[in-house]
Amino acid sequence: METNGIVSLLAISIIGILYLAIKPKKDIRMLAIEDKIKLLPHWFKFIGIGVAVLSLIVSFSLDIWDVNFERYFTVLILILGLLLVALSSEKFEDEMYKQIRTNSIFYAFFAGILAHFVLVFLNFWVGGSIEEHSSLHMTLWMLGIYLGTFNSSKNRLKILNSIED
Amino acid sequence: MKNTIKVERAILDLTQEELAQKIGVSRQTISSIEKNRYVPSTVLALKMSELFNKPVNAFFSLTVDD
Repeated sequence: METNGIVSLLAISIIGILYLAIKPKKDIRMLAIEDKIKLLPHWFKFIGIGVAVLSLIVSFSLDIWDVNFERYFTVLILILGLLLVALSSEKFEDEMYKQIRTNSIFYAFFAGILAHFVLVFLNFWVGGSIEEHSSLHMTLWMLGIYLGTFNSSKNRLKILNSIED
Repeated sequence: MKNTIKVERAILDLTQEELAQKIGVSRQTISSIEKNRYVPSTVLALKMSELFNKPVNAFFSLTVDD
């Protein structure tokens, strides 16, 4: 195994052990499926949109002007912005929105796996390397699917409900 | 699942917004429940039952699809 592989494995193991050590101990008999999802306040959505737009502006300016800035970082900033949008709650977050979130996470997770399979097969048939930054692009893809599904479901409901009201 | 929330709401002379506020959800959720686009949790159904002063199965009923 390469050194990088050993380091990643060690890092994942350490994070896992730390999580198990910090995790509050609970009585096994009290184990229940709880509604544990805690989201950031609604205003974080606007910060996230701002960060995402800023990263796109920086990315476009890299195309126009020859600035010495790594494009890799603009993708990282874009992911950070989208993550803030994804993790911020609605103005009135209730059980229906949590259900829509759960459905969107399901689609995003499996769309992510599917896209990764496609990339692996493309790499196999067409050639080239999908290793380079592929994890970042997969994250971006999954976040995009999640946000797209969540917002389209939410807006579709709003439109359908307003038509029949 | 079908329901008669709209009728119950009319009996109490409540708007969707008012009902939503009383049971702690958004107006969109009430609208979606009335149009059978969302099936509420047991907790929410019981809150409605308390408000309408009727058992849950008085305003929620199963259909052949369920």
